[in-house]
Amino acid sequence: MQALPDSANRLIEEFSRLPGIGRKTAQRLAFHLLKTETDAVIRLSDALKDVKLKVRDCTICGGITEDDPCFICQDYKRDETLLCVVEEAPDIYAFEKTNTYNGKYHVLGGALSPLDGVGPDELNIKSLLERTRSGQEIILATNPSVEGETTALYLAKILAEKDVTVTRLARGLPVGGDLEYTDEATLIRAMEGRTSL
Amino acid sequence: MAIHSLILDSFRNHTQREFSFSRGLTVIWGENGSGKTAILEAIHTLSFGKSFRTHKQKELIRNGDESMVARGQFSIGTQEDVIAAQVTKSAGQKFKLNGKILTGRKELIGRNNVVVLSPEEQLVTKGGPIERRQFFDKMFSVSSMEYVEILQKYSRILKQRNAALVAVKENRAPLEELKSWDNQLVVAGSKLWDLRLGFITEFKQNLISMSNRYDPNIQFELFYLETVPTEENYKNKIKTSLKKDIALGRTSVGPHRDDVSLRWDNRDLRSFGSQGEHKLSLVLLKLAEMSFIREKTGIHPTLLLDDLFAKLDLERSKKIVSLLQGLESESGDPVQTIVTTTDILNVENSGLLSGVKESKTYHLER
Repeated sequence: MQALPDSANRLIEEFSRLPGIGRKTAQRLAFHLLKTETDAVIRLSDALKDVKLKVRDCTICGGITEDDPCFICQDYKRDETLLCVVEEAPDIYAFEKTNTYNGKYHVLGGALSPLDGVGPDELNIKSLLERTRSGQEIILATNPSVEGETTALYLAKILAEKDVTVTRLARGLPVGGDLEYTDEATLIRAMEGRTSL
Repeated sequence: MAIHSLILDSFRNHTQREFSFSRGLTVIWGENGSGKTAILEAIHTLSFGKSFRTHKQKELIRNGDESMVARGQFSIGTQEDVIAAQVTKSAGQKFKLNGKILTGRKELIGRNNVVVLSPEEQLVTKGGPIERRQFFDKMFSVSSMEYVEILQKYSRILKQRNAALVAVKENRAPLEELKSWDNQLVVAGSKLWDLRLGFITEFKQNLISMSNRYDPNIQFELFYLETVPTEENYKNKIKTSLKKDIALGRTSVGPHRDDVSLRWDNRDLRSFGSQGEHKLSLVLLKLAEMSFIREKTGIHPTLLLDDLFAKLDLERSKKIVSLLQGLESESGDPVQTIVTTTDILNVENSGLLSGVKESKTYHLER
């Protein structure tokens, strides 16, 4: 936009690079900031800078943290014999919200996808093998996608040489769901994975 | 489902037009280039998410325009669906179902089924294995959600495995990773093979009964695998061809290489069939498809006949029309049929209009 000052245009440009934000939303955000008091805007810009400068990958689990190792890896009360392997760091927080899992985590940083050039070397698999101790249970919690499933298969195979138990998350009907409104794909999977009572 | 009305805006050569369709028969006649087939193409696009004539959706946009819209009103019983497709040169395509933007074509599949009989479809009998696989995959996909799921899953794994083959060849991935893809491929491929064999076996019956009704003396048969390989066998085949696959960078065994061969009077139709035999066998395949989908979903698909009566003699036209009417009377279920023709006399002579309770005729001018 010609009429806008240069700095406002630059801000709109930067906002519209973010996922899920189009040109119009970017403009609205920029105008909102222009009307916001200076202190609040400075707090926002500090937060933006801090998140990038202070947060890094935990050298043990690969999750995101400010202190290395992260608080989960440092927590001695957690069960060392349980290790939950996930694709991305946000998956950890999905499990943490459940308040039921008391083991540790390992973040792969993705899933095997030869189409995107992601092979075992691109994932944090080496560090996983180094971390495993005999007697541990390794829970493979990769996504139920074709790529996630294959990654789980691959890990199961290379973990077979170690003295660990390998398990995979179950999949099927959502809790509180109504059978009638469940999509066909989920129903088919739930049928495949049925268990005896 | 049946289509009630269709609005076209900058679709092919239509600037802006509205059509309404009979529950029974709708005849659209006009010269070549008057936009008859475009109407069928629009109905197909709204039903299946793509045209039957082109893979390039942008070709559907009228020359010189920036975008096109097609909107159709469909109904079954009391349920009404409004499906809209929009293709923009700059932004690509978008589908809406009852005002809600759809995330993919998959959500449309199976809602409103159509069977197209057009000169383009002749590749089913004349073309190679790919065209025949597409014919069967499409019919089975609209009939079974499970089939769509497994077909998409298999295709995805196959693409990944082929990429993994290349990665192994270039020393970018370990053999162990490839084996994980092989495992996935065999599980999904076996499932696909099972489903496909089951459906083809059922479809054979539909085809036999359709050809018998046309003429008990003709022999029109379909050949596919008798049994599918066991998982063990399949795994061994993958193992044996591993070296070759790595060298080629693609997978040489599996359901993606299937062929279904068609035989007419004990000769391979593709290599030895006459023009007339090709045309007739396509009609029989498509009518058998109608009854197959009817059996699976409980509803007859809408039948789109593009220029069917051109180059077909009167006797054959009449026989085909009586087969079509047989579909209706047997099930007691009306078949919505939309026919295009350059010569209205062809349609009248075939007897298609006689005995039809509800019909509608459009004349398109260039």
